[in-house]
Amino acid sequence: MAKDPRETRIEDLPGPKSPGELEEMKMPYEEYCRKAFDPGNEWAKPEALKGIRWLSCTMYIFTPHSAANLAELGADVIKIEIPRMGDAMRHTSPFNEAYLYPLHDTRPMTGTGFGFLNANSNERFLSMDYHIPEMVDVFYRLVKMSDGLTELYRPGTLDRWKMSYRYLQEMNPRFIYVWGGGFGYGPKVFGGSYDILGQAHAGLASITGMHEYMGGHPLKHSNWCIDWASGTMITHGILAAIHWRRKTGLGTMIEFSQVQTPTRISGYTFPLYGRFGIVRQRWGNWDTQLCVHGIILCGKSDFPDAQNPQDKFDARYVMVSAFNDPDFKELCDITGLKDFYGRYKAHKDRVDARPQVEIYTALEKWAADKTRTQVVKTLTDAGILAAPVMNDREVYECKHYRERGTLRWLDDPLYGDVLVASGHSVGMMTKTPRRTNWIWRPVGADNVGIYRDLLGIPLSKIEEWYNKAWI
Amino acid sequence: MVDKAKLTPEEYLATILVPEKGRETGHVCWDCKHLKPVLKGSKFPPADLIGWCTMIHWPFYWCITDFNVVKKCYAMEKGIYTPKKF
Repeated sequence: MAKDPRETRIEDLPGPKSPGELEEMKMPYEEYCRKAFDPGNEWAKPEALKGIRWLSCTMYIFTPHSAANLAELGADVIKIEIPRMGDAMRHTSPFNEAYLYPLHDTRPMTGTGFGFLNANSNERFLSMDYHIPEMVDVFYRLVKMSDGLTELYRPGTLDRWKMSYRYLQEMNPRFIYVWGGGFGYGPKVFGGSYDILGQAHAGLASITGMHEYMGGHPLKHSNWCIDWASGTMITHGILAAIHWRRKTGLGTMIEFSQVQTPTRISGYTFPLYGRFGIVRQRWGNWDTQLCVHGIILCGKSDFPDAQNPQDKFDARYVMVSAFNDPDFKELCDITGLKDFYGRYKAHKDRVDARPQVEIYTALEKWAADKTRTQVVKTLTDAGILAAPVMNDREVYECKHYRERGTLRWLDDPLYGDVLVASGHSVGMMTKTPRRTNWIWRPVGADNVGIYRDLLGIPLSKIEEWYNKAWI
Repeated sequence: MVDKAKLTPEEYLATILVPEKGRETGHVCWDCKHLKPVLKGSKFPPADLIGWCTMIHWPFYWCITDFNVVKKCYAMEKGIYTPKKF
């Protein structure tokens, strides 16, 4: 201790006394991350959005996902559905394969399809027909005690019903209102939207797939990636609006046109067109900005005897990236394509379209007598970035995803074990991690919990509404 | 009328894919096999394009404007795209 108690000496303070000591005290980064993120123990930590209550008058994937993001971060999300019917997405399932029962008390033989998964987790499920004049007042009461709402009706529909932002902000000036739909106001205001329409209309499908000269056609992504991405972008808007409200005390209206998402993620496409009049075209599994940076086909399957064609035939693709000069030189050395390095020493030479055709053709020729694993091993041993193109089963079996909890088994309170992939679109968080508590519940499962416990409506009234199919 | 059975695929396409504009625009592109013209009756794209060059920025397509006349081009390759002939 120093003589003068006002003097602070570094040796008196707790903690490391020198940079060297600091380094010694640090645990390895890997270990630090494991301890800090601790996947699987999210429930021991607080939730970032606890205290936020959100109404979700949504269907399908796009807008529901914007609210599910909030629910997974801890908000109390109330999903309002059509009585006895629910979200239309409940009635879809891939190839009509799998349903989880029941859908609703009155429809025990109908279930909710797997198409509904991940877009409605952790929510509370309320049913309400707000076309009924008596129920509009109940809806207004919910608005007064909520932070915001996401809806997806045709533009102006809720305005006609006096339930739009213009009306709701008078009841609750802090209210954050989200409309999410196809086009928004403008010449195409009445156009509805689906993911596939978004991909097609926004120019994304036209730059996905193989080039016309290779016999390619515009492709949509198999999954509804634009629905998922748009939902997440709405969530960004909501979080920004919540932050703004902390500063000003005022709500916001967010008007989100789904077709703008694939346009937003199209990279250099529009600036290139605007500046030079060049229309971007498809370039398949290769890359227009980097070379070598693409997916190649190997000659032999990793699973030649498998019954599943995804294993038998598709386990032949390898992603390889060796675009900077040393990597490209190494790639040319190990694949015996030395003359390519001689001809295309500079990246600007090899990134041109014609050399790309030559280089990838030669690489596939080199890989023609090899399996996917052999190719990946040869390339990674040489220090080149390469990875197998994996199918879903392989992703499930991949240790990396399991250790990080990206894919995990959830013991759903109602439906049992479900393998879920939700919960990580904000990444890992040390303090307030995202979590999935339940995947979904039947239509109106939380009616009593909300009408009685939140709004104080007597059970007799709730029963009456239920019998009239108002809820 | 020409005998369609004797046409090459490109020539045949030229008979059915009638362009909006033609040689009066003064572009050398009308003799080039890399031109992909705007088709007759197209409401979109705007009419100030004669078509797209599929070569000079290959694999991307370059918009060839009506008002900026292409007189010569390094990628010019004599083609059969002469729709007025038929």
